[in-house]
Amino acid sequence: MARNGFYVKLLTTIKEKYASIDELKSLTGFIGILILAAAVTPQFYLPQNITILLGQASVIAIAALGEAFVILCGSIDLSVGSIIGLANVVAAILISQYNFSPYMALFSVATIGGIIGLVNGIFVTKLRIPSFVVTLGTLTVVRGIAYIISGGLNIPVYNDEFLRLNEVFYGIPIIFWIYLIALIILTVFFEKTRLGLYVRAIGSNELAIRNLGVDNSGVKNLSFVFSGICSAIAGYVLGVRLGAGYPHSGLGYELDVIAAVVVGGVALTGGTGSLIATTIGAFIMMSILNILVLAGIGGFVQYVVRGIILLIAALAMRRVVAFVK
Amino acid sequence: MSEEMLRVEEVSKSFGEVKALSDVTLGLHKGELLAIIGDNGAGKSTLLKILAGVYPPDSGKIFLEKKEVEFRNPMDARKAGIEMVFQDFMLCPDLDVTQNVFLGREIISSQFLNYQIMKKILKEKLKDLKFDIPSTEKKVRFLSGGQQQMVAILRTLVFNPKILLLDEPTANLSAAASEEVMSFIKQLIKTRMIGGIYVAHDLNAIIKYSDRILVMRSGKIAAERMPGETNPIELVRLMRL
Repeated sequence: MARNGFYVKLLTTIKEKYASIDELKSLTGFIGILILAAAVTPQFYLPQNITILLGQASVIAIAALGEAFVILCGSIDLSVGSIIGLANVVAAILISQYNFSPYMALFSVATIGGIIGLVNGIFVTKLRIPSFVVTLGTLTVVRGIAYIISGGLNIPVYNDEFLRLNEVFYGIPIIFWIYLIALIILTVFFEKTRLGLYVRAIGSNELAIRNLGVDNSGVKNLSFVFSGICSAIAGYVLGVRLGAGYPHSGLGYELDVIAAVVVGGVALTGGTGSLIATTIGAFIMMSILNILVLAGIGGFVQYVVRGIILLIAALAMRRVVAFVK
Repeated sequence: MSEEMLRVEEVSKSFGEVKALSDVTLGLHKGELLAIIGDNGAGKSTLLKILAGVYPPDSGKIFLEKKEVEFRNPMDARKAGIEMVFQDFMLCPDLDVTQNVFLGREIISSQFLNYQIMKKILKEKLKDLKFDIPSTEKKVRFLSGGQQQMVAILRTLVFNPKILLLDEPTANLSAAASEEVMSFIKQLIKTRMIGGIYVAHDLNAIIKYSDRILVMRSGKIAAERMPGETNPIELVRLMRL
């Protein structure tokens, strides 16, 4: 009897520890995917494929960092795919038609992304419209703007400095280094600053935060601004990979980005999760899609798989939340 | 009677058509635990939330240590030394004990959160108060209801408050734990000469621990009794007249 009690206690402690470390859940999933890859398509581990995967994952992972802030606050940002598209087009126009340096173009699109995020935030916090509705509206408006300013046409970029960003540095794509820099900066902000703490606190219990006198609207606004900036940087990085601005680029990316965040273990109800876990989530998503391509499974099936991953992740999160809350 | 530290003068508050408080006037002295009782909707929680800066009053004045104060938000009240234990704890289950206790008043060193100092302060406080909380690093969602209530109380005590507002502070505790917490709060108020306003439904506990009892009815102070001169039956009658 006493021994039974000991095992129950031990099991509970292990479960609690497992549930309390946000990265462990997504890491377990990622290890599972890596084992699956070895079994299904050994080409997955070829250096060329790893380089391609890192480049592909960078776009989704950068946007997912910003989305994670919004979801951790208990909101959602559906406009990320359209901001990616707009930033991709604007960067291409600024560099190819207005002779902006790639770095000035990056700064400009990040500013535009931040402004779109701020507009989203103001509608959510000041006008009290649910984020789902607000960002569904901006998703359409921003995509429309991308089509208007590009005239619906593709804009090739012939700037060598810009195209060089698609090369590798120490065996790793430069755009992945850009992602790593963003991850480090935002993780420090998220884990070590007051505002990062408030993001989690708002998602955990917004009423408590308000009753303690913390400016919850300001923090929520800031998370939408981060999301806009990250999506814009993701759009710029996508432009680097494509070597051009495509007005329809980023179409439907919001689903991949949200899936990456949820697969990474960020609760859709907010409060729980981490940026490193979100990164793992993005890699899980992109690795699965990569395995499908290597296994010769077509694009239409990939859509089905994407949706199923999101549903499974949402279901898993519901179970975890049910256990821990 | 010791010096008056808090004075509320003719405070009123309405929510749309509903008048929640109507010209409420009361005083609180140093070292006093003042109980406020009343049926649901009598205005007790609204009064506490006005004093905690959660709601602004529509009219009336609040004086803290003889100086008129105006709380635009809860942080103003906390900075003035008024702390509240909310009925439903108001904790963030996904944050740990340290983060919850210091929420809104974190210790910052070179722009970054200094958890080392916060944990040190908290551990000393826990030792001082003899609170049974397993770890300051444990997420609050893994604590029992009683331990969560202790964290909620702890949050008010870490910053040495002048006035404690307690909205059903022992609602989630066992009888034994309730006794312990209320004895502790009473002793704290007496030894540190702070003030306490206590809202609860347990009339026996009200009579046992409070120094004075105000009865509220329909947003007004309807009666005042001393604990030694009343009983639960009379208090129920006063609440429902």
